[in-house]
Amino acid sequence: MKKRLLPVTLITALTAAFLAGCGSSAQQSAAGGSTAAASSAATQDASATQDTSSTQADASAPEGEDGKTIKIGAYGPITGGSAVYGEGAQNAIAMAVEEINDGDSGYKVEIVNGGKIVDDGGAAKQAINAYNSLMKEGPSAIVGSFFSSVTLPVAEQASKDNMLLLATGATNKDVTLKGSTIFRNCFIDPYQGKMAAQFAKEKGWTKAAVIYAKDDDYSNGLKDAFIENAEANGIEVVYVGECTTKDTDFSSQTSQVVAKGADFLFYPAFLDTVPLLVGAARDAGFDGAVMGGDGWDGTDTAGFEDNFENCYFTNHYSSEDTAPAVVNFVSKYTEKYGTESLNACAALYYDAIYMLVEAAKNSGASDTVSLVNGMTGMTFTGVGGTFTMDENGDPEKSVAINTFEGGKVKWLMTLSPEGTKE
Amino acid sequence: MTFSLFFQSLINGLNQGAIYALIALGYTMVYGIIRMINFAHGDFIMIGAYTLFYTIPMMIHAGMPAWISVFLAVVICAAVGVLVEVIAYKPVRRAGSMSALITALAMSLFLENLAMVLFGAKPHNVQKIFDLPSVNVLGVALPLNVILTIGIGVVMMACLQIFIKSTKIGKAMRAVPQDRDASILAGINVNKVITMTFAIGSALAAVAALMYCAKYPRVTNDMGSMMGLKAFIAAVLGGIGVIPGAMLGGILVGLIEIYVKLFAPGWYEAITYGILIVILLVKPSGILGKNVGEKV
Repeated sequence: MKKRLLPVTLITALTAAFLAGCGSSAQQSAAGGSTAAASSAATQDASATQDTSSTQADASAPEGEDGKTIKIGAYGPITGGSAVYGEGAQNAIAMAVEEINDGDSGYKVEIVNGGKIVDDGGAAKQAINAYNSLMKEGPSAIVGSFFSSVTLPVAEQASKDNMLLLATGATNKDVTLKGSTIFRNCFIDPYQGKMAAQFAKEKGWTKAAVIYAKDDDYSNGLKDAFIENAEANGIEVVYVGECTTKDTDFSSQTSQVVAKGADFLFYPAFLDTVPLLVGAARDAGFDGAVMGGDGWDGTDTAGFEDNFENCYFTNHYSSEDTAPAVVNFVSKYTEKYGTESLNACAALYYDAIYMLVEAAKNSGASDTVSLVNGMTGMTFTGVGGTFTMDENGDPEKSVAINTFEGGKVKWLMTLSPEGTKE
Repeated sequence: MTFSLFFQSLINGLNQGAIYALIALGYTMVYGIIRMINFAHGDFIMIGAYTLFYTIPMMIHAGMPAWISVFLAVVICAAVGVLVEVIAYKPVRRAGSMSALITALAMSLFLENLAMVLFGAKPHNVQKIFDLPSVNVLGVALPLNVILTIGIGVVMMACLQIFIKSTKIGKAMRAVPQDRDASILAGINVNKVITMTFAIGSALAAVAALMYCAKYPRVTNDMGSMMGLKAFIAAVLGGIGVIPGAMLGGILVGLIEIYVKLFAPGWYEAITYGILIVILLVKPSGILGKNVGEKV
């Protein structure tokens, strides 16, 4: 009997502690909610009618709380080859939330999961798990992810659940076609491929080669769009080679590029293999231009400085842009977190949080349906420029074309949808 | 196919093959001596590569050539190899081959995740190891470091062959798999020989890491798993347990991959793995393997 006493006491003690913990956290959140309501009432000089309406909302829809707090869930690549994107996203979200909650927009933002991005590992399967774990916390909107292949299955599920999904870097054109609650704040693949072809034409390159990752939606989307638009622009595609996202050896493909006499190589892929491809191309004797999409952003060029001469990529924004929103974002971010993770992904997650606040302002409430209404057709100005959401939930925006100088990314020009240089 | 394309691919294939061969040697030596597939072997390359990543800047800072780092990598890899053997493999050696295999898989995952915790999930670029120009041979641009890499591989394989054939410990290494009990009677310290095998196999992995980083200067925590798998295929292809077989298998897998990629880049892995299956169907013991049944 004595021996059994110990586990029993332990279990009782643990249960008691657990129950106590639950109770206190519930109390805390209730207290936090009431203080938030009180403070917002004080600062905004709210009338009594507003107060009662918010209490009514409280009673009917516990998720919406006082109607002024937007509950957002975020997921992104925290681990894996593209972890630097997740790092940037996490920092940018923290920054945006701090700014909004200290600001006077009238809305507060709460990131579920304790303010942390849930990891999708850059993989579709893990993304669904991330999505499910976010849904358990009852958010009004979900933000993410940066990759098309990861976002596509999530978009499918979100549209079934009528959940607002604001994709941040998923440029595959099918993402927003999954449902009316799916939006994004980046341009789409065909558009990036088109701009790359247009840029090649302006530079006077005539023979293009393409190497793309066959196991990746993003890479396939850019490749198709590029080939289509290259032909329309009078550029001959002399070689199309496949690879996978896990490959490290590109020597065969790049020697074919040289053998076919191409003067331009398009490699739409993600940053982690970009130095290897550029290195392999230069090793094979290719001295033409190598170009990629926004997946190149954040590429580590250490040790490859010479190889990256004559390389370009299209991007959502350039940190050297002089627009006030960009300058503000870049200087604040650099001060807080340095420049290593200052990439387009960070900028897009940052904009996403602001877009949701804007959507809440437009419709006057923070539940999912109001946010969707507020988001549809909205015009927004942020780090990614000024753009309007079209009927699919895609923005129409210009692309920044970057190049490299001594291994450092340098802004070259901005190409607008009409094809004119700015 | 033009001659220049063929020639360039030959060099690329030999380079890739030499790396596979060196890794395959590690698999084959361990298998030959204790009949165990050390799946963590691929991750020893990762450890070697991270050692290079951290020590090359130090070497350059001290005014020494970057490749000196490989000696440090050899020492660290050999130490890790011996440590893994003593801590994880030795205690389960008598528990049967399944336990040993599972332990090896666990060790592989452990090392990969440990590296992720220690060095982060982000890939790192390794600084240039050999700063050599390209030469133009028969109208083909050939980077000299590729030629040098192949050379290093060949020298390492030759040295290993001499070591196994003519030194005392090398003879002991050949004796143990033939008859373990008889070798104990002949005065061979079996445990010491096994530890030595792990040390040499891991040291070769460090050299493979150098060759890998000279061609593909990037380290990630999971780089070893795919390389290890390919090298394992090479070892089986050549005849696992047979040292010249690992060399032949490695070179073959490298050449096949590069040439298949030239024409059907999307197919190269399907074809590489397909070859393994065909070889196993036709000659289960591998190209140079002797068809002797397991001793009961």
